[in-house]
Amino acid sequence: MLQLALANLKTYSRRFIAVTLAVMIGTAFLAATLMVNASATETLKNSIGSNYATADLVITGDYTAAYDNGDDEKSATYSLGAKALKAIEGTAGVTAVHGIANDGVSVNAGSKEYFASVNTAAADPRLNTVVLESGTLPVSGEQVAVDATYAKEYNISLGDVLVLGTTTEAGKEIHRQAKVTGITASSNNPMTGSAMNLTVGDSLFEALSGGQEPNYNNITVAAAEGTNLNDLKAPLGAALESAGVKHFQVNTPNEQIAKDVAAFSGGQDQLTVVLLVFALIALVVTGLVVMNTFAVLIAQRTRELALMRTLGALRKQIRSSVLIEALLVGLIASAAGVLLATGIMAGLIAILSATVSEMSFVALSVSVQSVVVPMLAGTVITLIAAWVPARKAMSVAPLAALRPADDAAVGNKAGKVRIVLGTLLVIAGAGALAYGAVKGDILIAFGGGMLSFPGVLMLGSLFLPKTVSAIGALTSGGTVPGKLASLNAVRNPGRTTATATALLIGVTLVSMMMVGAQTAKASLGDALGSEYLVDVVVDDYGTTKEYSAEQLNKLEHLNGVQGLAALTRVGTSDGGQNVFAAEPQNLKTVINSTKQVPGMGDVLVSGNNKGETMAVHAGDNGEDTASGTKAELKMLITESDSLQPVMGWDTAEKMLGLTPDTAAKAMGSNAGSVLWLKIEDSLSSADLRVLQSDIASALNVEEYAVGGGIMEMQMFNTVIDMLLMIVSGLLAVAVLIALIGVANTLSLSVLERTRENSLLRALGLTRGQLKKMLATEAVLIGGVAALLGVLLGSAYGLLGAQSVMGAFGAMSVSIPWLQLAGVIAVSVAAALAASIVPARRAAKLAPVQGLASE
Amino acid sequence: MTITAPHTSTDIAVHATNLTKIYGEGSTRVEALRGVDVSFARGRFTAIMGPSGSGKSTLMHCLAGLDEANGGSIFIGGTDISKLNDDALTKMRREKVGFVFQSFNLVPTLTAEANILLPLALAGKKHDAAWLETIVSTLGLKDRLNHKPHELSGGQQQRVAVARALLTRPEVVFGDEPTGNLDSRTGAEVLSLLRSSTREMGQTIIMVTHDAVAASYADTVLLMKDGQLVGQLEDPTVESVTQALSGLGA
Repeated sequence: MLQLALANLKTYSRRFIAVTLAVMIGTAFLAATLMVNASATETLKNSIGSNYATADLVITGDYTAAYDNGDDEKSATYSLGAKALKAIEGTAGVTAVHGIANDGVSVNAGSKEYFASVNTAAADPRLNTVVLESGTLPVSGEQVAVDATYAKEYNISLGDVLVLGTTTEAGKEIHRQAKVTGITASSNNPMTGSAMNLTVGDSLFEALSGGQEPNYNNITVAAAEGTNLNDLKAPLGAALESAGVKHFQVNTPNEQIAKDVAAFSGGQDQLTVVLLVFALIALVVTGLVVMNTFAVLIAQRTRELALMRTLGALRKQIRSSVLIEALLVGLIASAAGVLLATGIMAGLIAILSATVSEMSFVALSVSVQSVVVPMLAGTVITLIAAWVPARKAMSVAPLAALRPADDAAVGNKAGKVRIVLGTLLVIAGAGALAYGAVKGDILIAFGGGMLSFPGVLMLGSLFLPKTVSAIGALTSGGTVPGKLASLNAVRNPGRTTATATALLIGVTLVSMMMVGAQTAKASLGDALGSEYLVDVVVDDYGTTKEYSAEQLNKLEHLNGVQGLAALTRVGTSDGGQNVFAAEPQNLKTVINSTKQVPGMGDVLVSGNNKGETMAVHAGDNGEDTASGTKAELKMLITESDSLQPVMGWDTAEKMLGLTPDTAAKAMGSNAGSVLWLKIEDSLSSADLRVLQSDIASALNVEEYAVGGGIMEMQMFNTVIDMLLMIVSGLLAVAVLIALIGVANTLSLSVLERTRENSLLRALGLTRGQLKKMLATEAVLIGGVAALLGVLLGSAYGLLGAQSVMGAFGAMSVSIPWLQLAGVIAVSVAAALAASIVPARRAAKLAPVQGLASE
Repeated sequence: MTITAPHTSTDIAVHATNLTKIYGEGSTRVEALRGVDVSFARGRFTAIMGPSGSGKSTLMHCLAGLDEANGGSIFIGGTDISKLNDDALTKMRREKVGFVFQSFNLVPTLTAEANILLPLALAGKKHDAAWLETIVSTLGLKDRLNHKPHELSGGQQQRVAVARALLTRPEVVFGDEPTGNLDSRTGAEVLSLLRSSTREMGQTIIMVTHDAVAASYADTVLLMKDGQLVGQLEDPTVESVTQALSGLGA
């Protein structure tokens, strides 16, 4: 049978292109997902593990274990200090040790003050992870090395003198001058990469710590040549215990990285889970397309299979012949898919690390898992999908070969079993979907979707042909090709269902993603907008200064500032909060959630407030409460946990009797202003840092007075955008697979009817009419499938989004109408396009030729 | 009514008793075979003739184990095939029966040689190289073995089909209008080949045809009408067959 399968693949290779492409794309998606995961881990190794990657062993104090044992108050039991370092150094088999410690210092370079993280370089080159770009590593107490990124940003060069400052626990300030002797390579470590990194000698580090006991994050160990690292763990443990450290871990760098990565990514990799769900969906679609295509391939070969049976092929042999074909196609396509994924990932990473300097440490990692799993999955899915058509092939009667013409209609009445099973699947799946949506459990919802969709497809032959003929009757317009087309569409319900199913799958998936993503984005956007209500807040506590009009004007013209609301204090709440007022128009500009702009009689408050209303006294609490007007204002409670109560001037004037002119006077010496700023979305984090100091200098306030949600907001926005990008990628994949399915089934179904079409031609149907008939049929089937798919997909999308977003709170339903209309248009166009080539072929054939051909 | 092909040999290749076949139910009920008893002697070339709807094709399908009879029993080389399950029937077909079809029915993806060897390949058996050589040279297919069916003429394709049928040395070769798709010259060629395979190789052949010229190549012609055997001709000629057929009202 292998010979026959090979011969089939070779001769009909064009018929297998579609299947191969579908499997390839599905597999590539899965492989890429796994590679993203592996690459992310590898990348984190390059960054998180950069401090100890070169060591033989890494020792870490274990706070969790200390906490579990009730020792969390006794820091000596889990922190690594000088004693521990000495004990380890004295252990047999250890040739070098290094304590990795970080300390925060202020840095005065010229006239400006910055924050920096300071650490020491290991004396032993085997443990040193600080890479010099130029100059030398600091040795003496008056030398320092600065990392390249910040040296450039802060304009620090070799030979500059920095003043490093710290404050001890006792409150004593320490200042040390140090000359820049080296520029080091920038850190990739996400824990330290966000601030300037300084490397100093041991003596300066000690001096800056004010004689305090050092507290090492890790101690790295270099072992003597040929030492078995696992054997060294026990004596190291004994040494640590003798130094009084009870809770610790001794790991190899790889073990430590695994633990750090797990801690850094919250133990579970949400992104990979989401991607895997998408990859699974892609594979299921692939399976359905494969099943469809193989079914048509089998139908085309009925005669040939019957001949094989006549000549003595057992049923089993027929089945294995089909399955061998599927196996070969699956294997080849999966291998191609993995290769494709590797190529794409390598390309993407190359582009990423070449264009984004912060991403230069991103590494491609093709794990064994990411090759084997997709290969297996692709092959197995193809095999499973081919199983049903193979069974059909098996039941071909030998006598079918002896019939002069192959017009044996494929029996395709929906069997009772199929209807019952389909109904059960739909009910069970819908139940699970609804439960998942209510409980906010994506896994249950996903399972529900996976159950119900095949159920819907099983029932497809019940409703698809009927819908097609109903719509066909409505739209045929009484022309002969129109009538024939809608009759054709019902005459072979199985064929109609098969063709429509491929498109239904694709459209359902696409619209599910569109509606789901749109809703998720709207929901997330609202949730985030509510939490990070204002981009930047300038709040110089303790000062009662008013900003001059000139300062505000300067602020508004800073690059990146899009809006400004100056909040003026107008009163005090019963609870003692300072209450502010601002121009309603300006508030509308700077507040990120349209639902949370305070209207007339409203006061916008932080999430810490409870109740319906807030009592506000006009004027300053300490001085003239009695004289001030009191008003009950309706609270507009936000998710934000630090927000000054704010109202519009319209409210302040009506309810409190204060205007911008009278407020300052009423507040007396406790007047004060807070500024809210709207910042351009496109700013990078580096731009934001610059903007922060620009704002501070424009207003002549300290930098710490400039805060707000934009940093966090930006991080979340990046995540949402990335997810949407991935979803769009998946969308393209699903559309591609589905379109292949449509084109394939349509062209094969037309091919299947060569005789019939020739007969119609013989009976007087013109070429144009034939083409029109086939086009009408394609459009009918395509349109109906797309319409049903959009309905089904929207339902799935909303339920899916609800189950994902359940954890984030209320869902904002948002349907991308335009995109959905686009999907229907594209589907109909694709169906039309898919009918063109076969229709041309059918029309070209002379009637006699078609009738004679088999 | 029992008609036995009169041959001195008692050796019977195919034998059927009281064969009935009914298609459809109720108003569409058709009795295609009404209690047919027939024996085919080994080493003879028999043609079955009759007008359309006489049941000649149904008889052949039942005898070949392609269609299930409603009653009666069929013996091929001493085996009662009416009692076999599908797998056993399939194995019987590939070991004891050869087919030559009107529309050649070669597997389009395989070369001529692979097509000839297909039944043996399906059975997982090795072929007898000398026998293959004999058949191939007798049928004049030597330099056509590596061609795909679409590269062969109709006559060549049918010769490949004949080679395929003969290779397993089957108990019987069934021919279903084997010359129906051929012009008269190539048709005559194929019929001569079939006849010589009976004469020289002792091959039993049962052929269904409605062509008097084709039937004249047979040793015996059996005549059918309305699902029953109604007569037979020995050493037929075109004239005697035509006359007999017109006697049937065909």
